[in-house]
Formats: sequence, C-alpha cells, structure tokens
Amino acid sequence: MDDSDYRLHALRGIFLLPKIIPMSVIIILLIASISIASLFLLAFLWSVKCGQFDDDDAPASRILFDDKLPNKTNV
Amino acid sequence: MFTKSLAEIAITCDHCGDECIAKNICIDDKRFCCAGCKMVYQLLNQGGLCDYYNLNDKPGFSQRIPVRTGKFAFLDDAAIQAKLISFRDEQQVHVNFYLPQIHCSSCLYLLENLHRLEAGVISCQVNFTRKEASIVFMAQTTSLRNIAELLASIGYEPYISLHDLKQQKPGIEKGMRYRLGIAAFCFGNIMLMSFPEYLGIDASESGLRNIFRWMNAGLSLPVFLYAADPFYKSALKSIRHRFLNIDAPVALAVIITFVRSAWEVLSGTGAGYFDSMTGIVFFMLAGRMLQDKTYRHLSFDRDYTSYFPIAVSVISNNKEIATALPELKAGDTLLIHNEELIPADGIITKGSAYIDYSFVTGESMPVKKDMGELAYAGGKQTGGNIEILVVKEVAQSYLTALWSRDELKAKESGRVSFVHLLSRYFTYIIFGIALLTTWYWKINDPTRIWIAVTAVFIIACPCALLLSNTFTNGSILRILSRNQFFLRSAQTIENIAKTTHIVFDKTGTLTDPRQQEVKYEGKPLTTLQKQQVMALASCSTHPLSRFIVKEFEQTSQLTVAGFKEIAGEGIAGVVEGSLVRIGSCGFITGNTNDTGGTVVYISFENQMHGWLRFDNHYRPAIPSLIKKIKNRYKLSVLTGDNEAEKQKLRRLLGEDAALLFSQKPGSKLDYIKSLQADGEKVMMIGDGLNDAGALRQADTGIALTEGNNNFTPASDAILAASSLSKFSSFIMLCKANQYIVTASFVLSIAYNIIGLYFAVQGKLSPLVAAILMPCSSLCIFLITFGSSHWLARRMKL
Repeated sequence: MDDSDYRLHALRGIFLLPKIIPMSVIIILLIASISIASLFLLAFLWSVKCGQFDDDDAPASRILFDDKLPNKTNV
Repeated sequence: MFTKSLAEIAITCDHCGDECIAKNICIDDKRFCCAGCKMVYQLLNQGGLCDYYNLNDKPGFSQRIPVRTGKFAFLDDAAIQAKLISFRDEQQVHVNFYLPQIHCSSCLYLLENLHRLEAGVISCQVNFTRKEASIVFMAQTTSLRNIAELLASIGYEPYISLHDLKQQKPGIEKGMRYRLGIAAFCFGNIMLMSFPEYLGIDASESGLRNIFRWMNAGLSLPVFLYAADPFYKSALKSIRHRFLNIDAPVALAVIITFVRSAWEVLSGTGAGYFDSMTGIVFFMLAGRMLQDKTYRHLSFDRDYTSYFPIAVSVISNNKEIATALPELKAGDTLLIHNEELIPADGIITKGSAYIDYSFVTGESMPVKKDMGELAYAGGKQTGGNIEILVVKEVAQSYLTALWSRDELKAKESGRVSFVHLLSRYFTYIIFGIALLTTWYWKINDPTRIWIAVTAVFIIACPCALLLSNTFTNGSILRILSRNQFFLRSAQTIENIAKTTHIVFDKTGTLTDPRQQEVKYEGKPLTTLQKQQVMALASCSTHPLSRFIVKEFEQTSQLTVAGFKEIAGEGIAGVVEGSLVRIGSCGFITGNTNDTGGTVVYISFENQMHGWLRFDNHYRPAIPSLIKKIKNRYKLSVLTGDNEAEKQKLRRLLGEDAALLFSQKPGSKLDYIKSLQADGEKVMMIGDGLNDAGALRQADTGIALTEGNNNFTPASDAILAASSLSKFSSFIMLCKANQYIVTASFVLSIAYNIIGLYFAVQGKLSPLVAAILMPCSSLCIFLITFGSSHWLARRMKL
C-alpha cells in the first residue's frame, strides 16, 4: 500500500468503513440507524394522527392554566 | 366610540366592557352593564371559574339581549340530534359545536372547565383555530339541549345552521402530512445510503453494495406506492377528462424512474435513481402543501345553508313544534321570534315585521313590513314575534333558488392554469427528444435504447415547472394573507391576473355600512338638548340610534324616564324633565310625506325641532383605489338602491363606468353573465347574500368583510375591508405571479438541458442526477421566494 491508498481510505472512511471491519458490523449499524429513524417517523405520524398540527393556538394558552383539566384518558 | 379621556370616566362592564348606563348592577366589587352579564358572573363564581376575568380584561360578550328560552328546543328532536352528534354509545355522547364567540385564552379556560358548571360534561376540548368545542357528555345526566343552553347562558351560544345537517366535516389535510413525513424519511435515508455509490464503492465490496441498493429499493417503495399517489390520481383524472395536466408527465416520470431503477437493482447493473425520485416527490409534496395551505378560520363555501337556522318553530294546533328546515312545506305557519331569520318566503299573518335585510342586501336599516305583505327569506326579524305563512319551500325561495341555478354548477370546470398548457408543450418536446434518441441509438447501438430513453424521461420531468408554480403560488398566498386578503385556491391568483372588468357592489362595499354621514338641519341645538337626544338614543339598539349617539358624543349621562320604543317608528322618553321624541316623519309630525333618503326627526315637548339626514359613507380608501384602477380596467357599479346617488358615483368612478341601479340579486348575476358573453374576465367585489349569485358567476368573486368572524357569501377570495386601499397592489402581485413562475422555469430548463446532454448519450449517472435535482429545486425555491417577497416589499405589502 502506498501513501495515496491510505489517503483514499481515509477519505472514504468518512462514509465507508475500511475493509478490516467485518461486513456484519455495518449491517448491524444500518439496522440500528434505520430503526431509530423509523421511531422518529412513527412519532411524527402519531403526532399528526393525534391532531398535533390541527390547532396552533389553543395549546399555547392551555399550558398556562393552573387547574388540571379533566382526565382525557377516560374519554 | 368615545375618546380616551371619556373612557376613563365612564364605568364599563367587567364582563363585556360595554358602558354601564344603569349604575346599580353590581356584585362584590364588579360592575355590570346588564342583568345578563351579572348572571354569567354569578354562574362562573359558583363554579369557581373567576380566573376567566383575570386572564383577560373584560373578555365576555354583552348579554343585554338574552337568548330566548326554548330556542334550542329543536335539539330534543331525535332526527336533528342524530345529524349533529358525531358519536354516541350507552354512556357517552360526542358533539362538536361551532362557537363563533371564541376569541381569547379566557374563552379557552372557561370552555375547557365546562365540567365544573355541569356535572354531566365529561370533557370539553376547544379547537381555537376553528372556533370549535368538542364536548363529551353523559347521556344519562344531561342532554344535548342542556349543553347548548348552558353554553348560551355563559355567552357562548352555539351556532347551529342548516349547513350542519349535511354532516360534511371539513376535509383535513392529514393525509398530506403523512405523505410528506414518509417521503422526507425515505428521501433522507436513501440519500445517506447512496453516498457510497456517489463516492464510487468498488466491485470488491459487492456484498455491501448490494445491501445498500436493496435497502434503497425497499425504502423507495412507500414513496412510490403511497406518498406519490396524489400525482397518479390527478394524472388519471386528467387523462379521463382528455386533458393533459402537469401531473400526467410528472407521474409518468416517477413511474419510469422507479421501473428503471428497480430493473437496475434486480439485474445488478446499477444503483438506480431512487434518491432523485424520492427527492422530487418530497419537494413536490412540500410545494403542494405550501400552496394548498388552508385558512381554517375562513370558509369559502358558504351557501345559504350556513346562514339559515337548522330548525324553526311551526305552529300547528296552537302548539309550537320545532321542525327541521328541509321538512317545511308551503302552507305551514311559522313563528319567528326576535332576532331570528326568516327561512322561507312567506306572507306575514300576525304581528308587525321589522326586517333587517343587512345579511341579504348589505343595507343596514331595517325595513318595516305590514300584515299581508310578502317577506323574503334571509331577513332577520327585529322586535316582537311574528307569524308567517310559508309560500315557497326553503330551497325554492327567492334567494336560495339562486344557488341552484344550473349555470353556477358548470362554472368550476373549464378553468385551466397556464402551467398546464405550458407543461403540455413541454411534454410534446420531451416525447420528441425521446423519439429522436430512440431513432439514433437504434441505428448506432440498439442495446442502449432503453437506458437512454428512460434517462430522458427521468431528467426531463416537468417537476421543475410544478415546483416553481407551487412555490410561487405558496409564497404569494402567504404575502396576501398577511395583508388580510385570503384566496380560496392558487387558481384564484391567475384569475385575478386575467381580470379585464371589475364590478363593485355599492352598499356595504363602496360604502361602509357601519358609518353614516349625519347632517343636522333645523333650529340649532343647545348642548343640553344634544345631551338629551343622545341619552335617549343610547337606550335603543336601533342602528340609527347608534349613529346618533356617535355623532353627538356628549360627556354627561342624563337618565331617561319612561323610555318607549315603537319598532319602525321611533323612540320617546323623558330626559331632564322634558319629553324627547326621535323618529320617522310620521312619528313626529303625524303626516307621512316621504322626502327620500333616511331622515330622522327630533322633537322636544312635541315641538318639531329639526331633523338629521343620514347619507351613505363611502369608504375612505375608495377614491384613491378607483383612481389607480380606473385607467386599467373597465368598471361597473351594481346597486339595489335607487338613483339618488348617481351624481356622486359618476364623479367617483368617471365617465366610462357603467352604473346600474335598482338591481335585484338575479339581475346582478345576469349582468355578470352578459359581460362574460362579451369576452370579459369579470371580477366582482361584493358583500351581502344578494351578491352571492354574482360572486359565484364572476370569474373571480371577492367577498368584502369587516372582520374575520363575519359571515361571507361563497366566493373565491375574502378581503378585509381595512385592506381595500392596497387592493391595486394585490392585483399587481397576482399579475407578477405568472412572470415569476415562467422566469424560474426557464432557469430550471437550463438544468434540464445539462441533464439531457448526459441522458441522450445514455450516460446519466446517479451522481449527476443526484446533484442536478436538489440544485435545481433549491434554485427554484430561492428565486420564487426571493422575487415574490422583493416585489411585495416594493409594493409596500
């Protein structure tokens, strides 16, 4: 291996792991990253479903009220 | 109403902020203007909800006119209930009420604590933007009618209209958000996993490379199958209508890109263009969302059903029966209470009608109708109860029949955005290039036909045009809405730009119904006399009385004894020991000679003293607006009034303008039609229900409103009266829209040409596509956003 090969490896190492690391690690990393991202996607879809974006004004005022609102879980 | 120093002296109601004329209505340390406001306070005090008054200063609405008991009796009717209730089981009932009074955090606080006032309420959730309260209550302990009456008693009277019977819930754009979220997720991950490919992963790592490719293919599936489906649907629809819209080539490009990419991955020949495909779908969805932003507090689709009550009292066998409006038949006798709308054309059989047609005509003065006269649907009775014999059913009444006219239904189709026409040429050119490429490679190297031709379709998708259109529309809609001009859809921008003829309604549009020019004629009034007149007038809620109070603006508050109001005639009372009478000519002098125009006479101790002449007050913004648009557009004015103000209008609008007087709603519509038949693109600006037909018929119907809460007839756009002065700038901005779209499109074509250069050679690498696509999208975004805002700033919007 000459110098340029190392430089190439260093450059590509940002995005690609060098060959020394076994492929299975990358697969695990891939699965981990995709599933974390999916969690965020699910959280987003869930928030849309619950009407998080339906009303921009009410929650801002609601949070300032001291009294506890009726328990919404039994609705 | 009063100057600042006056407001400090005058005692105002702690509930609604109105001036307290009677000084003795107080409880604890609070003062109220009327018993109604006091009652609300007591009710809230019992429930421990007095934070209502601490959160905002004087948050309530005046309760001077109490809600009639039995007004909500129709809610006991099972058929009506079934239409209003969204869900019910053994225990619980869910219902949504529209409460137009919601305006501040106090309202929110009070309504969400409704369970403290009524044990049967399980929860109440307010949607502030839509001014709706979703209430869940126990069917055993309380009833729908109870809830409505409770809301009315605390000042939040539910607005239940005939429209609610249709059970059409406003479309929620949740689906669009799901799609955008999924597209963003897939696009981001695919982009990340494409980096090895961009940087040149080599064949020795083929295992890894295949994993990345298959992951990309998998991630692109939700975008291809779900997120992009609005484009497929629109494309299919356009093909079915034999009109090629812009979505057709876009959908074609998405499908071809996906098929080509899937083929590459399956055959192991390449990585495909999944990144470009998902990216473009994401950007296009974002543009659509920006453009289709809806104003949830406004409604553009109001027809008469939104104004009309859901039920009315029918008298049969001396009993009042609440009857749903669609079930009314000719021959029924209706009981119309004070402040209720007359729902069907009918003959007055009992009581003296004093009908406020301001909803219908924009005319602020109520009209007196005697027994035996015909009352048109849409007017609001003020004063006592009347009985009406129904002549025509609701849907066939004079006003409502306007909506069912066939020509109005046909209006929606036939309007085509220039973007679709442009995209059609674009599509032809692309097919031409694709054919040429096929022919060239067929001669030289037939194996590359497939690669080259698909690449042409991928790179030349008119998504750039779609993006520049949606982004420009979106940013212009935003600028306009910031200036209180709300458009129904992006297509309205183009319609406004194409306008050649502008038609104004007079009453309520050119003139301000809330103001009148008051001129006093007769013997001069002393200060004391002015105070007496004002004290008497302030006891009445008649619009003319309010104008008198405003005109005379006096400080001292004299007490009025023996106040009497005769609807349609005048008011009388003893102020400072002398009898003061204000009213019509007949009321004061005894003889009824009509001098024309609105005149109110004043007498002291039965001696006629003088009279007040009321003239229309033109909006101050009108003269300068007319001056600006006079030379560029043909102008017309339509009015239901007589020719009394012809000279004034002629001076205002110039010699060329068409002035039409004594116009009925139907003839307004016909006038618009005749203009359109001459090839004019007509913009109609109006306000009342009487303009509704003309607003619908016009190419652009603009409804003028005093405030966002007001009800406006169905229209393409809603303009706040306060922004009327900027109206000519709005038109200019709408005209600029087309230039901005075209300019950014031409620029994006440059990208397409670079891409095509690679594509026709069959050398379009994913990297080139991946660089070109975001670059051109970003470029379009910057140009459209930047130039529309720059223009808006130059026009001082």
